[in-house]
Amino acid sequence: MSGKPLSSRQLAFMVFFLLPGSSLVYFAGMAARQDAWLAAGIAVFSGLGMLYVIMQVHSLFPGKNITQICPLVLGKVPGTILNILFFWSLFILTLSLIYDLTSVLKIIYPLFPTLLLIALIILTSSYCLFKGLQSIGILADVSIGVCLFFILLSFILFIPLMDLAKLAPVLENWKPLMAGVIYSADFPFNEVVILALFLPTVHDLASRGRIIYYWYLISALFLVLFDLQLVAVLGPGLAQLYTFPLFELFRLAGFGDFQRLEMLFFLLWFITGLFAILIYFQGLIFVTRDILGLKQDRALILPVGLCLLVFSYVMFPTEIIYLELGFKYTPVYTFPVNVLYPLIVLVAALIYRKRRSGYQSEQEVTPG
Amino acid sequence: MPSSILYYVLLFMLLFTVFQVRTLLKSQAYKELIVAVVLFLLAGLYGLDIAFNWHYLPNPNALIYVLEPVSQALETLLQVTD
Repeated sequence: MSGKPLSSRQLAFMVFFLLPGSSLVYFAGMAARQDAWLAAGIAVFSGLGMLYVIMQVHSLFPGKNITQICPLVLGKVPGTILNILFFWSLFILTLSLIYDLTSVLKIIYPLFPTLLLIALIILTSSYCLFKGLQSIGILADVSIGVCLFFILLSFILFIPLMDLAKLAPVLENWKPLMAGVIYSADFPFNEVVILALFLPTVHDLASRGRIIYYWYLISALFLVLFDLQLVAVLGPGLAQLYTFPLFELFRLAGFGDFQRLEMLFFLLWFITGLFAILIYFQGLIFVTRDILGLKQDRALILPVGLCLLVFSYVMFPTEIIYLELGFKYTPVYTFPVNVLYPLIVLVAALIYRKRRSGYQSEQEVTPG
Repeated sequence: MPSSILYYVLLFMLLFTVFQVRTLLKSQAYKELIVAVVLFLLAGLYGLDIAFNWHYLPNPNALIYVLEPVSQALETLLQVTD
């Protein structure tokens, strides 16, 4: 494996977990109301584009991640500034993911202190990160079947509850649809930009890299279908009103005497939510290591974990503040950063490559 | 509840001391050790700030609240309703 612990298949599974794991509380395209599914469907292409951009960046500098490439092609100072902006975007998104999973756990354990739940999530994630990327890859391999089973089961259970009339009128107003596209492109679809930090850890990317696109599309398709079912079952008004629309949907699902099945789906929520945190936590450690020029990253797991614990309490002390910051103000920062950062690096990398090849051919023409 | 945050700060520091410090010293990774200590100090200071309700340290949310006018302009433009 030549020191590269992940396979393309494992990274693809991680992408699959990342998207639903980021949408535990928020449902993609909510701003578009009854057209949420349409907005999410359009926004899928934004994530696909990001995936293509980061793959291109990696193909120009194989073996290096984006935060290592950035100062190389842009210069040390501008590159580090861009890396810090990217770090802040990842930090906010990680805190949001931790808050989401804590909110879900609060439903099951309402009497547990919030700090204890956050500490448990971070310590669990830290343990997984200490075990190494290979273990996370194996965890993805093991969990994929369970998650697929629950996702397919949920689709079957929701079909009798759907009322397609609630999806009308389609395309009533393009402005909210546009808002839905922008917000859902930012969260969750553009979150795939984090993979730019993991690509150098994949050993068969050149031969089997396409599988990452396939699993991204499968995951995105599931999200769009979830949106469709959410609006068709709850209606756009209720879906926006509930704090956990997906949880309400699971509560309604059932067949015959089998009711209150939401706890069954808790496993799906927990696995996907934890994977999203694991990926972002590891990404934060990679970026911190590269910005500070460190050789080892294991030493950062507990200190960064503690910072996440403390700052999740400092920055999101109540749900009102979280909803205001997370869904209103944060996308204004994270959307341009997550889109522009890889694009700037790609353009700079192409120019850098062109100049270097031009310089090399000049040297060959005029030897001595 | 805020005071309990100090227990978590101590727990993380203890875990780091037990599992990491020796390895880092052995491999002479002093830079990593310094960065870890600085991050622990930062988290510890914010922990104290929360635990004793001092409010001396700036809340990082201020960096996000700067974007409020842009966010509101975007919401008005795209007719986003709460």
